[in-house]
Amino acid sequence: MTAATNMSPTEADRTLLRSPGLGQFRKTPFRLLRLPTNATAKQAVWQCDKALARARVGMTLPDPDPAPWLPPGDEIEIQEAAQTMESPLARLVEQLLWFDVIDDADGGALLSALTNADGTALRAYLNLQREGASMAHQVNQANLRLLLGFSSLREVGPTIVAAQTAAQTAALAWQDRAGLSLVEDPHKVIRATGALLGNQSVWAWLLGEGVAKWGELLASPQFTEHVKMKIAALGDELLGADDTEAVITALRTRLADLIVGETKTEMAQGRVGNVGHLSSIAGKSKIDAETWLVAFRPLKTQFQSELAELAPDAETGNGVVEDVAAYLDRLSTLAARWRPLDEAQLLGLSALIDEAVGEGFGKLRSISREKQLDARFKEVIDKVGAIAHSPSIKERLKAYHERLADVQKAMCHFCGKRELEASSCASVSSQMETGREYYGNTTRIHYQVGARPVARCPRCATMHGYLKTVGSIAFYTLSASVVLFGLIHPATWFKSVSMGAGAALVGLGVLVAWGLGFAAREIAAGIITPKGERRVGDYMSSSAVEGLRADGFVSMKYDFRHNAWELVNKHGVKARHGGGGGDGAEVLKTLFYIGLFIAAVALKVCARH
Amino acid sequence: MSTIDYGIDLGTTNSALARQEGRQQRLLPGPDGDPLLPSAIQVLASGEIVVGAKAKAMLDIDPANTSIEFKRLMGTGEKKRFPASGREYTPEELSAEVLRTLAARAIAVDGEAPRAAVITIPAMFQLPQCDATRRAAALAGIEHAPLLQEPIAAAIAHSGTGEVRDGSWLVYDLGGGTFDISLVRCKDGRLQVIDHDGDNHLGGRDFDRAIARKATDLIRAEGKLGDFKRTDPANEGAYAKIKVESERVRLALSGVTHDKFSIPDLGKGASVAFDLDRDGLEELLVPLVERTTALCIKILKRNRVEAAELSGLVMVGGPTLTPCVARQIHFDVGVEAKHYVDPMTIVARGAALFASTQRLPATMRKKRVGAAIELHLEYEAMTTDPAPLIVGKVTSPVPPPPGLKITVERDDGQFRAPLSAVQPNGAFAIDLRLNPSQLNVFKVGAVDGMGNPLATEPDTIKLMHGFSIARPPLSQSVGIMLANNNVHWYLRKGVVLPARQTMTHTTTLSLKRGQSGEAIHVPLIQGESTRADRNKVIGVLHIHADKISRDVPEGSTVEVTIAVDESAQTTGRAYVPALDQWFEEVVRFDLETKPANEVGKALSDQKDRLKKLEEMADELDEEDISSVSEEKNDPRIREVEALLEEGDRDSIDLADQMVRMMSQDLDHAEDGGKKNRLANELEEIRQRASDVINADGEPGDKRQLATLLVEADKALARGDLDQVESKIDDIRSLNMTVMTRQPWFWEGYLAYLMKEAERLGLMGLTKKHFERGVAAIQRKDYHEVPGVCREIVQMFPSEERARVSSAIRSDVK
Repeated sequence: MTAATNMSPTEADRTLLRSPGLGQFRKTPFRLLRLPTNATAKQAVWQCDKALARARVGMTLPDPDPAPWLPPGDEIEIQEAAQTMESPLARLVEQLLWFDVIDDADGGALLSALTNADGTALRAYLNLQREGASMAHQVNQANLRLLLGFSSLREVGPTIVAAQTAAQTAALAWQDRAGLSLVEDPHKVIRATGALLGNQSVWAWLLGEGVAKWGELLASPQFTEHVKMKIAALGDELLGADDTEAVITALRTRLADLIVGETKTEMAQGRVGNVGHLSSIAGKSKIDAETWLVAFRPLKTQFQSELAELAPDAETGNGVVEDVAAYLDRLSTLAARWRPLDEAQLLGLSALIDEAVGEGFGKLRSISREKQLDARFKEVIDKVGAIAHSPSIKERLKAYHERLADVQKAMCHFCGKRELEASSCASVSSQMETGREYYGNTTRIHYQVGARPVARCPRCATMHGYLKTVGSIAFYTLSASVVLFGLIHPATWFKSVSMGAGAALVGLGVLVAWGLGFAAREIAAGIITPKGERRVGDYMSSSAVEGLRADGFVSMKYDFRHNAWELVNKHGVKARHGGGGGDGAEVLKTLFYIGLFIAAVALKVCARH
Repeated sequence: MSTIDYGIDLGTTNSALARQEGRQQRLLPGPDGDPLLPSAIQVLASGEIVVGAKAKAMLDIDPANTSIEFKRLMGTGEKKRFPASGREYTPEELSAEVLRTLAARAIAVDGEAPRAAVITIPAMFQLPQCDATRRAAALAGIEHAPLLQEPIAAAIAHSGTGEVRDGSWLVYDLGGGTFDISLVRCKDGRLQVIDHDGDNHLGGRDFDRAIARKATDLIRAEGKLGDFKRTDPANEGAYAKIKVESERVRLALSGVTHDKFSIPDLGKGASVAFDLDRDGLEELLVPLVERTTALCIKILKRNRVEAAELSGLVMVGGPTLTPCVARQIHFDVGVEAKHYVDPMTIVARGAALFASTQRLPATMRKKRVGAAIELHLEYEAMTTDPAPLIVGKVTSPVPPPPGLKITVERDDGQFRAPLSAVQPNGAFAIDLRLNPSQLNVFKVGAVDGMGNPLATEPDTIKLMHGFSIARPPLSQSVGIMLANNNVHWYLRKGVVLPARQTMTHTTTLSLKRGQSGEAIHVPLIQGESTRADRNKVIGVLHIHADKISRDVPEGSTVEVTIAVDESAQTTGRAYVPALDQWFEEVVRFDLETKPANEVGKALSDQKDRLKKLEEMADELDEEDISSVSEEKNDPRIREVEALLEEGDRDSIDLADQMVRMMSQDLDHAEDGGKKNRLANELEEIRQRASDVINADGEPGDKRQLATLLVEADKALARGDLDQVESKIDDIRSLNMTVMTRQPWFWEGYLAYLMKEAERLGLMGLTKKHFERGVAAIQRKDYHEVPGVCREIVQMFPSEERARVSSAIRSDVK
């Protein structure tokens, strides 16, 4: 391979030569060979021979160029043009995408305006609105818009001044409202007319109208008849009336390819704004979505590759949530950038984003259940819903949230990581007065009692059981020590105090022992409760308390023994409010307090005697 | 002489040279008087090369040092070794010897060998094969060798020699090694190839192969030569004899009704002999002929032409003389097949006629000494235009003398063009008038400002009126292979040559100046399938990194232009805007050849695919799929297997091509009814998922199903089949999720696994697990059952695991 330099046409030339839209008008046989639309294939071949012979000695055809602002054709293009004329279907498509100045009453003016690149005359032709205009005139109107639109996009050709109609002028009239001068709905006017326009809007306006007019033509029965007539006029045995639909389909496909080709060029140049305009033009045309989808499909790969670059790295592990979060952030930025490019959803960008979102969602769902209950996880998963376009993904997310909430309800309130187990739940109970009845000196108070389980897993139940034991041991040990000390050394204690005060002192000692027991439990709880989990005493935030409060209960009684809820189920709520039996430990505890009281009284009596 | 005039038919079996003389073509005979030169070469121990009939006669005596049918290997890297001399030759070197021998025949006519000749190639030749043909011509001393597709040459000969009839017809060109079918039409004297198709690996040789296979089966049955493998060098001589005898019998049966295939001595006391009559031959050949008629029908269908609309079918090539061919064509295609011109020489004749319209390059023209004015003239030598234009430029002296005018007068004196003034840049243009349907000769001259006549070079020009030939179309699309097995097409089949296309690519690596390796390396393919691997890799598009003038960042654009001219000469150039640098010759041809094991694997894959498709067709009653029936593919599968068994390069290439064709048919069947299939699939999953989710799903599941179904319906309505597929997958997944939440699902699945374990004799191994599962179900502990099921599946043999796991997808309720 050898390298050479300085052989290149300029960047602008290359852009012109490679513009698919301009290429349609630049390379059409009717321009390159200066043929009228009713020329025969034979005439085209003869004219091709002449054009080639002339081109080889540096001469051009004597007839004027009907689009002089476009680069001339080279030898290969001239030969291709002649060959196109020999293929009846291809020729007819080219013919219909060129200017039929023979059957258009204003064809002469149009041709003159084109050959002189006279912007004003061309604008005047665009403004013509003839009642019952011939099909050739309508086709010319659409084609002229396409030619001028593509030219304007590439910044070549005659300048089209967007002359305002009377109606437009009226629409642009300034109004005085509350001391402010304003134009009512200026965007509407700009969209409709291209007035007050920069170049960008001019091409978008012209192309938009051109494609829309073609969309209408392709759908109209009159145009079908027109094509049939043209087929008959060609008189080629390879193309019959049966091929009318094939011609219309070919035209439809060609128009789509032209717009998509320009879109691709604009994408390659990084002009995303123009990409949006072009896809919007496609979306607003009456050409069916399927044609556009097929035409736009090749572009999808470019977007796909952009998406692929964003893909999250981590497959598993703790980094997944953060990786997916970062991925979703990038995706969100991309989606925001893409949204205006594909308002008509012909590029399928929404589907691509949804696919990517689905991938991120899938990764999030694959992580462990306990991590899914983290606040950060919820935050990240909410992003999924914010980015997704498809209602089904949003529904999926909603359903997922519901399930997650259910799961959360089923999770241990304390650790939040493991599922609850009924036999391990703590309980919270309450009672409230519902009414009083007075019977003489007797008052009967009615209470409503309520209890709910505080969701707890076996591990937390065991841990809480241990903490309870720690507290109880501390309390009982210290209380017993105080009482025993009082019994063994009554003289020391009660020498200078009365019996009553001594007993009170013992009582105080027991109270301190209770406080120390509580403190011991709290200290142990602080040590053994894993970070991020709720401590044993943190039950007020549980759904059980919320539920009771919602039912009107105020004061709460909390039981965190390992089988507290089982006991409620077994003995009823009243057990927790003095009405029921309670378990053995409760009886022992009661007996213990009674014992302490008797011991204190006995101590007092002994001291006195 | 200002036109090429020589046409060469470089055939697989025979070659010929013709020269256009006036309106006639003359076939140039060899020393033996035969215009046909067998394309056979023998290399003697001394290194001397024998070409033609003598070499062919040595095929069964000295097969190791004799080579035939090397045209089929053109463009590949294969080399033929001749052990006696120890020399190796590429297919193009061998073809060059044939061309050299043909060129020598011209010495007798012109006194010197032609430096330019039109050489014919099969229409379905791929670009590297065309390139190799051009190289062969250059090696033979033919400096200028435009290539012409054989069917076009035949059509030209058919149309150009007699009275030109308007109409369309098929040119059925069955050569020694290739088959081409072209739809051509003539309108107002203009000959145009509308479309063509073909098979690069089907020809008379395959007819002989069919007969030879019958012989080898008998030899194997006899057992004296063991399994009689073709790849065994010891059998080379025996195979050569079989080949020669097969061809003899086939040709003989064109004239007689029955003949005897007989080789009395194959070595080790083995022999083979059997009677073959025309019916027997037909039985062997009909499957091959049917492959050709299928292509005839395909090309007519593609162009919406009815057989009744055709003006006829022109048969070209020696194998078409086989009696059953014409009959089978008439039976299958419904058109009468005829030999309008001698089928063995029609291509050479057409090539010569075409050559007479091709002007020699200026450097090769013989110049008249003493001409005052030298002209460069531009005109079409063959035209239907009654008033063509001749345009020219004075090339000497420069600038032209002031007041110079050019004169042109027809030699019959009936037309004289007005004097044409030469422009200051030397250019001039003159309108001519031609006598219709004949050769028109014009005298060219000049007059100076004083009116004095001046001699010009050239002083005469010839234009043939009434017939012209449209440029040939590209026979197979050219594109590049993308990473995702898609294709990016540069030039599509049917585009008229010359053609060119520019595409933009991006670099995937940043490139440092002076770095070694290739900045761009993209496989270049030729074929028609949108799946890249179904096409043939013909080379690469490459740019050497060491040629870049400075560093190029990743993602830089590279504009590559590929151009193919009328004679399939391909050029590629690339422009890197970031460097503002052009790179020439970026196309490197390297025709892909696959080893036998790869082709075998591909065949096995396609067989599996076919089986699946047939199952699907049964389920869906899908017409597109049903068309790829086993009956249609079975013979092809057997043929590929037989070819792989034969094991030589040509057979493997043929097998590879057949597998690719099968793959494409299957692709077509799969893609054809995709919309219907997806609609059916959607309905099916709609029904199933609705049943499950409405009965057992949560409200969220129901809402999801409803939105998914709406989205799927919308996508189907707008023809977005990718979306439909995606939505069907989503629905299936939702259905699965809901099902796996249901106790009945796990009960059913456990029962299914139990049945499978029993069938596979795994009950002993899995008993405890099943007991655990059953116990869990009894105590309604549905959390445990999935785990138990998973453990059981793991205990299944690996080949069964996927099946029983996938059963989870079906409704096991």
